[in-house]
Amino acid sequence: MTALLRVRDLDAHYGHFQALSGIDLEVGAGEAVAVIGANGAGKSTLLRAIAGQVPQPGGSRVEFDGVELRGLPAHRRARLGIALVPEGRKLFPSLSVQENLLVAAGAADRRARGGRRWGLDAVYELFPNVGRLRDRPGGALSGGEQQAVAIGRGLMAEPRLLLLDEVSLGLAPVVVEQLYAALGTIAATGVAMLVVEQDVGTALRLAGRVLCLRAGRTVLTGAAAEVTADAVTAAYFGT
Amino acid sequence: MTDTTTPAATDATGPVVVRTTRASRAAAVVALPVVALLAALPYLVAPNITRLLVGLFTLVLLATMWNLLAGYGGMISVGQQGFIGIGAYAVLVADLIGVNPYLGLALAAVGAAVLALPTALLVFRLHGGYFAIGTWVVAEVYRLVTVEFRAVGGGSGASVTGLSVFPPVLRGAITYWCALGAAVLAVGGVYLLMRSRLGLGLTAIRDEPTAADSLGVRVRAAKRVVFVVAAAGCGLAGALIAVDSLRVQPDSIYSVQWSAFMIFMVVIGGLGTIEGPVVGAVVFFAIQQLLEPYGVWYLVVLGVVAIAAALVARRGLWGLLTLDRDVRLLPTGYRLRP
Amino acid sequence: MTWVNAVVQGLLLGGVYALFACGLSLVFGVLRIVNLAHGDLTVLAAFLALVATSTLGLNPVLALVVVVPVMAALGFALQRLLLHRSLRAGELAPLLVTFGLSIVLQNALLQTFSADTRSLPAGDFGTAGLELGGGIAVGWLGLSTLVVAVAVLAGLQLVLARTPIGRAMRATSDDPETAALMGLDDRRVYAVATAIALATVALAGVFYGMRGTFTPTLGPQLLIFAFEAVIIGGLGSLWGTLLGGLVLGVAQTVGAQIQPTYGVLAGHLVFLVVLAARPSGLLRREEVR
Repeated sequence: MTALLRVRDLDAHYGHFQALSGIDLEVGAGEAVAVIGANGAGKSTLLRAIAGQVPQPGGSRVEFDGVELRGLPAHRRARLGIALVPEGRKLFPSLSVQENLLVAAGAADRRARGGRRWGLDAVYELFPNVGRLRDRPGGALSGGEQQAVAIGRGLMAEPRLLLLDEVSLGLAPVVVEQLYAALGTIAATGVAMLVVEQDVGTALRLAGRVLCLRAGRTVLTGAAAEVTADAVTAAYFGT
Repeated sequence: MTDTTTPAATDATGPVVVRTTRASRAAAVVALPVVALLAALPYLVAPNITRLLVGLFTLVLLATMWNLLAGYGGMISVGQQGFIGIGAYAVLVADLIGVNPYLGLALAAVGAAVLALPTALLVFRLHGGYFAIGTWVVAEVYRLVTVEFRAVGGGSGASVTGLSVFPPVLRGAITYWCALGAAVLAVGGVYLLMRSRLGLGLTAIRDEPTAADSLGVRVRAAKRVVFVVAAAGCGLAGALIAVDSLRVQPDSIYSVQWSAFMIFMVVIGGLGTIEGPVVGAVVFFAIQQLLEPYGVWYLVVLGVVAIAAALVARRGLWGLLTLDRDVRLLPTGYRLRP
Repeated sequence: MTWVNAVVQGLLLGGVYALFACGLSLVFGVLRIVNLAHGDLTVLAAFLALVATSTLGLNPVLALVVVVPVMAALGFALQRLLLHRSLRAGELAPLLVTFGLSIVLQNALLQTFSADTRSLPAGDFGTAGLELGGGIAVGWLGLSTLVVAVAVLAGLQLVLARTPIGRAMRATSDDPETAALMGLDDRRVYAVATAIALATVALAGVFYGMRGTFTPTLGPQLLIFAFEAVIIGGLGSLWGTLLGGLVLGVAQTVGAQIQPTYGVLAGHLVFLVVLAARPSGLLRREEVR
């Protein structure tokens, strides 16, 4: 299987603080991989580095569909088909829900000549309550509604790789349940996913493989089915 | 009895908090004789040289005040000419009512400071660039109101007549000493202000804006103090310009050109340092003297240099001179010496 | 009747101010930069039109065909070369850079065109008008300036509210980092916004040049008027900007009716009163955050 995303020896720095060191990772087309780890382990930084929000040092390689991404700014990566649903949802407060969705559609303009899979209708079908809220300002929604719009906005860019950062954060279990059901539907359409979660159980239901980070390093990788709870605990806390 | 001294204090090899640097101790040794020499200058050199230096000292005063506002207070004002004008007119008013114009210098500083209080109430409602233009509007209002007064010459201005009782050489010397005193007072005063709690608080907020929210009220008060002090300094500068040129003309004393000069001096010299504005004033003064015969092109050149400095050399000439090694002749902070 | 006339003339004058102000408002709204060179760019546009009318023999209105694209291109370049860098060089840098630019433009114009007072030859269009009776006359030029101002503001409003680029501008203004994740290039979005702003500046410069006189050092005054219109109307509201322009225009003509030297001062005072009594402006933008 050729990998859609291939990360080799990825480092990331915030000033003098090294947030990631030597991360290797592959995500195949249509595959879902979970990234787990404690607070500050570097999970979000990994997604941000792939999306182009964190500078990529010279020795690190990030290849998407065979293309090296170094030096490509975030907006160019989005146009290639990498969509990050950021931590904290980050909806545009002065845009309505529908405008929030439409604003991302432009990222797919060049790739979607043959027709789009994700338009407004498809997103509204996936998240029916988003359709009902379409004229509300982005800032005036509940956390779960915001997260649904944020995921929908990511889809409007017709991603081949969807990066999801802490989807469940601060949401009620029943809402998380609905959102992950929707993510399952999205995964079934062949969109590859890299899912960052603190809630290991939730992430492993969606992902076939898992990557556990601690202090910016990979401490555990494996197929989700083969990773035991004890191994995860050990990797998490470094015991 | 238990030992109450802290471990850090008993451990002689631990870090020590110091407020001086080697450069600052050297500067203190050099500064006194230099100021003394400058003070003796009227006895040593021709009056035309001290006259030139009055201009330079006024620029040092202005640059230091603008740096206080922008470099430490984070407020970009393009309306300081309002206070310069008020200061100059304070001298005219003192002259009119028969007060010695040199006493008018003090009147100018106080008058500008008093006027700065209501001004701050209004312009502090604006932020960033809109604050900048707001101060400018207020300066325009000062000008437009001033020219309505016939007693001070309306739109054409008036001359300072009360100084004619002094012989020209003495008048030149007194003006020189006033200007020197004002510049030293400004640089020293800003230095002491920035070493005080108020100054350290301002620096902390400049360096860590997220802390500003929790300190909102105190920040506002500190900024108001800075605004008033800067107004007083600019008022004093305006008064110096008036006693030096013996004439006040509203369009030129209230000209936004003064703000341009201040910005050039501070940005080129080094924003947010005590030394930078002094360096900037000297450089600006030299460029002005050398290039003024070539018309206003020198302002075009200075504008381009200031743009470049704002974009690439944010600590200005002082930063370049010291290679950003944090050389401080007048250190305002605390530092740890291991 | 003279008072009614003062108000009518003030409304027409306010049209120019609204036209000045919308570019300032747009650049601030999208880039969060207050362009201190705004007034000088307006004067530059007037001088460009002057050169176009004298060398190509064009009517000033036709000169717009040249001046508007040139200014828009200049805006695009300005954003790419100067403003974008200044956005990354700290909080104070955009102000220092645009103020430096203001001084450069002003003095370069002064050196090139001298301090002489100029105006754009508008011919009959500039002098003819509509007699309303009772000593009130409405000049065609003033009326068309007001119409153009309303049209430009309505057009901008429409672009911002309804078009993809307008949506991109609002999104980038909200959060440039997240906007980039949606495939929006903030450099391009900002450059387009600046280009549009300078196109409106070109219109404002040419109409102002036809109405009255201008000199290379007029820029700061125009910046102040534009700024007052923006603040009186309310930050972030384009219709507020129109209202602010009209209020400012009326304040100036009514002030000048009391005594000629009071005109500009009256405008400033109205601005200060609004700032003291209603700092968010007459038309507050509806809170969405």
